[in-house]
Amino acid sequence: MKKFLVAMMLTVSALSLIGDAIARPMGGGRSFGRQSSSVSQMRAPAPAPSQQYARPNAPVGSPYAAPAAPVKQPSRFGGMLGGALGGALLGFGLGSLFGHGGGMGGGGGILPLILLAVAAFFIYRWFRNRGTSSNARNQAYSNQAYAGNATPEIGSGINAGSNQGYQPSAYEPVQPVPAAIETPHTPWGVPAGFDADSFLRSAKSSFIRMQAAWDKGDVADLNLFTSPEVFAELKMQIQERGAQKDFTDVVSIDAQLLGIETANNEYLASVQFNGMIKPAPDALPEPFAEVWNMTKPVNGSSGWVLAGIQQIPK
Amino acid sequence: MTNNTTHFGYKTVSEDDKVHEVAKVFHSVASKYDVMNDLMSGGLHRIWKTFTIAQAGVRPGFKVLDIAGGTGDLAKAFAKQAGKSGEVWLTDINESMLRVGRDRLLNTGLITPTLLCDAEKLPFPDNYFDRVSVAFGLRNMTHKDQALAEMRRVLKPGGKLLVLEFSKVAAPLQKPYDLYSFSVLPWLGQKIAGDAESYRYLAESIRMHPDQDTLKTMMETAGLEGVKYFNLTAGVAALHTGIKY
Repeated sequence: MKKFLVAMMLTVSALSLIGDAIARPMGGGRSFGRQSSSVSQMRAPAPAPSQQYARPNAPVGSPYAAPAAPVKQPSRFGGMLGGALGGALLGFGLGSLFGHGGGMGGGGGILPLILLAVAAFFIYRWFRNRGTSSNARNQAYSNQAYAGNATPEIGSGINAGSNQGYQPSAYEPVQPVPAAIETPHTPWGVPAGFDADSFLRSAKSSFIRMQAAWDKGDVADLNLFTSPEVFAELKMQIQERGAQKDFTDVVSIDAQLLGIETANNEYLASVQFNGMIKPAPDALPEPFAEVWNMTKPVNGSSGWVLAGIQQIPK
Repeated sequence: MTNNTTHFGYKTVSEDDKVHEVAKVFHSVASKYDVMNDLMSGGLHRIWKTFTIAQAGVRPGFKVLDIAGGTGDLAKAFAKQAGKSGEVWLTDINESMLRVGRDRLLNTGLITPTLLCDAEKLPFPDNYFDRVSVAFGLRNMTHKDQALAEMRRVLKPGGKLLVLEFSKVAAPLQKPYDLYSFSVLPWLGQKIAGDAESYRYLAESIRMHPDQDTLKTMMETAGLEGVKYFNLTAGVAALHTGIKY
């Protein structure tokens, strides 16, 4: 009987581990390097759109227009301010939830700050739509290295309430934001004529190759495909783990080009990877999802390199 | 343009035309190749391939060449078995098929060298591979003897060649098999891939392909030793293996 109980406990704890398991590819599942503000905003509306906004049924014109602008949707709170306040309140709620949830490590402290920044962005956009000063912009992008250079005209809605991470299918249909038209920034989309298929194929190859280099601790190979900032971070992580090798067997991989921005004479392409990886030779495959921000000089003097890894919020 | 002729299904065409016609067939069927294979063989092609993979006995570190690898079924299995220290080449003469195979391997986390090449003129050094495989590809080659000789050339001494191909079905099954091949198959091809002609070619090319013993002799003539074959599903397909010593 005792053995049975022990076995039951082990099974239950193993199952709970499976439920929570999110595989960690290269970089330890952290965000670092260049971050895209457009990607950051994927987390902004969090569960709000699916729970509080009506879902318009209008078809989406372009595949890359998929990220929606939920703040423009009518809300139960009524009006833009209501939406922003709702987002902020939700931010606080989620923040405190994660903050006290335990097991979140350092992330618990950062998440409320991010959500606060996101709430601040909503307020900024509301002010901007009302034609007020652009002071709020700095507030909204205070955590972005290239503040103001990549104003996303198209926000995005994530059905975070599903607890399964970000899913493209959960996007709301697009409603163009009128205020965006007057901004001089590049829209968050893919330029016409851009060969997304080839780009994504190369991105997938790079992902797989870099996982292998990461496992082996092959810093020379990583150096070929990374910006100095990312390389420094990866090298540090490899040094930290010492002689121990990592194991990351990519079992399946899918890539989606979220958009390309232009900032500081560089293109910044955000690619979302989803798939399954095995963290150990005998382990079961586990899901992973993260965004890689890849840059390339506008003048074409060099190719695409990994400039930042951005985690997608749950 | 050469003046030599060969068969394209039941038609007699010039050798150059056969190359183009075969290319046309596979460009046409590439995107639906796997669905059609499943449908037409009732999933049997998977069992045949699994048997071939088992017979290949690829071990970590092996260098493997998959000729006419198409959508990459064999290469995918070989790449997993050969591991990170191995080297598995996916090759095909048809760009459309190779594209499908390359993407499919990539989507399963495998980066293998993928090469568009003619099996009759393999761009590899002598004695390079531990295993060479060709599944449902030899039938479409214009000079089968030349292709087999090339396969032997690139094999290391002790290396094994595996040829999986449709073959001559056992006599009692001949009539229903003919009915299926010449009536059902093109109809399925028309309904699913919108292309009856390509599937008619498939049926005809199977009939024109050498039977088990003839192919065995051809492999021996190419210099392979210990050649043997395994009839699969009463000879609908056959796996021939041979060693280079």
